[in-house]
Amino acid sequence: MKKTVAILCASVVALMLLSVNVWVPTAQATEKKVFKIGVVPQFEARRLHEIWTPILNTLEEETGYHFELVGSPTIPAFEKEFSEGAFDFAYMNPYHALMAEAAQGYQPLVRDVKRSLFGILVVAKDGDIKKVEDLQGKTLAFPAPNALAASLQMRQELHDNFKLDFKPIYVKTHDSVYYNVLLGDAAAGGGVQKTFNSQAPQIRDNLLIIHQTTPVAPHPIMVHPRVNAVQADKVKQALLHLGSTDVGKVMLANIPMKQIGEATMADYEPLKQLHLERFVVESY
Amino acid sequence: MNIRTKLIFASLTAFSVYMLTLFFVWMPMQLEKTKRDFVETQLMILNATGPDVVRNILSRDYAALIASFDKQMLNHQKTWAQISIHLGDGKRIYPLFGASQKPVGETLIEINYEIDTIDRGIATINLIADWKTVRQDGYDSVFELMRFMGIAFVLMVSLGLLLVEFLLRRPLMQLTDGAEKISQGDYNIQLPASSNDEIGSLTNMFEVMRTRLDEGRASLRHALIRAEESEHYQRTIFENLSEGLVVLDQQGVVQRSNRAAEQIFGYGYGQLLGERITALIADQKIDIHAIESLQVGQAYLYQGKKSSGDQFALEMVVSRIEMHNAQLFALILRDISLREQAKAALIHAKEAAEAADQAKSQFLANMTHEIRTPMNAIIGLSQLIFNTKLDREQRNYLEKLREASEHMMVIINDILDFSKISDQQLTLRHAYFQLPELMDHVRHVIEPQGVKQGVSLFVNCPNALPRGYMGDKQRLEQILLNLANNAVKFTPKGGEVYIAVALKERINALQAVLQFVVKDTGIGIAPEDQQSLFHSFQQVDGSSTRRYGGIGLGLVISKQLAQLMGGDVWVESVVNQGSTFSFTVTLEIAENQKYEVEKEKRLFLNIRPPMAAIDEKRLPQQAKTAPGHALQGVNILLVEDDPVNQFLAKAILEGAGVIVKVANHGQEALQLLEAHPFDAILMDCQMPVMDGFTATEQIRTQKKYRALPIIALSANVGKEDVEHAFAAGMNAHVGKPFQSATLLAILEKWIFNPDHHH
Repeated sequence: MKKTVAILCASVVALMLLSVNVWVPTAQATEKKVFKIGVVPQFEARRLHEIWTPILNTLEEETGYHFELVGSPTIPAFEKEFSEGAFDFAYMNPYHALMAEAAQGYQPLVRDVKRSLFGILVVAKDGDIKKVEDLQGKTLAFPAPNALAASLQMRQELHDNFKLDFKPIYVKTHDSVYYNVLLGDAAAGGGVQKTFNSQAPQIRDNLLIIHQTTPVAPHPIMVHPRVNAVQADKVKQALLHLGSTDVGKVMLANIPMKQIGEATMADYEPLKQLHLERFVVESY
Repeated sequence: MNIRTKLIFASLTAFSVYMLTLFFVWMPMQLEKTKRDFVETQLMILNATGPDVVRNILSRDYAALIASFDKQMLNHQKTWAQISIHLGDGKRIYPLFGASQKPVGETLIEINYEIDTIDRGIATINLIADWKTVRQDGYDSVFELMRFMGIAFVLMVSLGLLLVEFLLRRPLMQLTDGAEKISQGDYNIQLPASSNDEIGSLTNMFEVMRTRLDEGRASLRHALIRAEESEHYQRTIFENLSEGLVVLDQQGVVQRSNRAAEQIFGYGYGQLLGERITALIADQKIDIHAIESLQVGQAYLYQGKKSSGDQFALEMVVSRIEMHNAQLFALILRDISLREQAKAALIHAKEAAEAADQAKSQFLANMTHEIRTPMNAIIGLSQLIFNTKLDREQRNYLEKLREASEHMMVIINDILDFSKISDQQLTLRHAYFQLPELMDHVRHVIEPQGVKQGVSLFVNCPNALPRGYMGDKQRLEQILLNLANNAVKFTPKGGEVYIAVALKERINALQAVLQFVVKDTGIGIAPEDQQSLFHSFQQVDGSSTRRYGGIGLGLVISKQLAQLMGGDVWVESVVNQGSTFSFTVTLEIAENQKYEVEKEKRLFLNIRPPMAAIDEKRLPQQAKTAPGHALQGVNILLVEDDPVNQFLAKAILEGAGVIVKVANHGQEALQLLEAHPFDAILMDCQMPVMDGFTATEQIRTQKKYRALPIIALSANVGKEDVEHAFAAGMNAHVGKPFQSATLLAILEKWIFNPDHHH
């Protein structure tokens, strides 16, 4: 009995000590500058953490700031959050960049300067559809209504340039787009080169790209106007520095950013001119 | 097979059955269940994916679906061999590529899971699962269990063996050793420690058994010792019997014999065994069948045969013995050669003695007969002389002569009686008589002498006594008269004599002891003389012989007669005051035998008076009533060979007016009877030519002489002689010498009143 009581007491003491230990670094952190980082949920949350945590750790060492990764469950939730200015820094697609600039005044900080973003349209290789014009009145698969290159930009071009009337279905992921096309559920599907390239050879070999959209600058890391220029620049320099190291390149490649460079709002002006808002599905 | 092996065998069998059951029944069941569970689990997994599958299909998010199942396949790579998902329109969405050929394998199970989707119909998940691993796990667990059971079995059997060894086998082995020792006679054995179980009770029972056996053995040993002692005892007796003892079996072979038997037959020790009875007895007919037919306990005489071949007289008594269902014969044997010789000598001596005795008796009989005949003449003639004219002096001399003659007759009769009693030839009659009559007769006989000597006589016969008896009245009278006569004789003038009878003892309804007493007031007898009174040829005083006469045989005879009649005679006396003679006799009481008394009267009426010393004067009634008046003119045939007796009888008869014819013998009598009629015949018995008996028999053959009175006249007065006379057909018997009055009275009675006697 006494032994049990003793163990209990010891446990309680141990717990209190642990709490103190946890609390102490938090208290020290308040002395540092803390930034909230948002990332578009293009991957699942865990993977996002795996990608971003090493980068953010490096950034903390470089800048002396503390970065807090704030996850968003869905893209609309993410859109709502950055529209409300929830993040100090945020990684987002180019159309989001337009929306964020318009809503909160977010400004691009860095972007992949090596690649450009464009959408592709695939059909079954052994199918009847050989060109875009064959798709009149067909069902077309897209990952989501507001996916920039694969959906918004693709639908804008099919609508504006080809005057196609089609029935879009949204199958959540690029992979599903390709599967729907293969299975014949959709006559064609919108994707991006990167996701197409990552498909298994069996899938790629059975699909045929019949159209590419006009390339746009890829995803930028945006900064909220409340972050002062010094701080923003310090972070930008740190990121750029990261892109100059081998280890950092590997880290950034996972985002993906093949080669990091400075970004400006001007990079996204062509996109702005497409008026993609016409194809945005708000309620989705 | 010992308990250990049995236990092992039984356990092994049970274990094998258990293991086989486990392997062939339980394990398949278990595997089947495992398989079911496995399928169930797979279905549950598929079921869990169901909602995602539906959602993914509905949203056409095939990538998610595929990724999900890729991941599932990865997760279940050990058990899922293949999974394929077909949509309701038949499209296979998983796997998207690859052959649709189903893998084949023993452990593969095909599971179909159907999912209803709204717009695409029913999607089917076809899972081919491999339960090999699960089955192997099942096998492993069963084998593990069996291994565990095996170890447990070995442990249990070992423990069981230990228990059996210590609780069962060792005690049992101890008991077995104990039993073996007991069977070898060693009762001092180590028994297992006592316990409360079956072995314990077995041990206890064993202990009880051992104790009983030990006791039994001890008592058996005692019994054996006793039996040996008994056997020794009996053998000793058997061997030392003076008689030979031989036991034969049913074949007549000697089974056993004692020393005496061996000696009798001249055999060595033990040599008789196995001999046949036929070898031991010379008689031809003797074999075992003859032995069987002999009467048990009866002595038989045989010619024995010794081993030397000599023969000898052998007495044999046979006993039959039943033993163990076999018939044996025990022969008791005596060599009686010596005894037979002695017996022969004895028989010879006895025959010689008997011959001598016969000669003596014959001599005595002859002598008395020879003496009686002349005495008859003397007495008869002197009586005749009395009837002639005599002067006083002559009559006095004649009286003396007659007294001497009669005294001599007494002596002769006494001698005859004495010799008969001595030779045990005297036989007592057994006939009816009446006691008052006897007493009366004694009084009548004694009274005249009493009167003559001036002695008063008192006779008492109480009426209360039984009257009739069966016995020898004549011999009883003889004793009483002898005593009474002596009393009167030795009592001086003026004295008194009492004669009395009393019932001394009533033995039973039929027998009584009568005591007779004769008391006098005489000279008495000195005590020293009383003992010799009853001895032969002695009298109280030598002088008394001179004074009173007689040779003193009377008391001796009386005593002997009384003893013959179951009594005795004794005397009480005081000198000069008197003597009391008493005697007892045992008689049969017979009250109602009237006929017998008549017959006896007829038979013994004419018997001579017991006391011969009774003259005519002492019988005044008989002598003086002038018998024979009625006989005037009666014709009598006198058959008599002796001339003197012829003369005597003829004188008496003719004196009474009888017409007498004389025949000298029987033949002559028959001739005279033919020629003359007679009223009666007086027949002498012993005669030349033809004796009286023969003559009488011949006379009686003629019917006309059946009623003719024939009266015997004979000097032979023995009982046999009288009976012989009656047997020949004579009516009465008159002994010689006879009283004239007696003769005449009898004649008168038979001639005139013969019917009275029939």
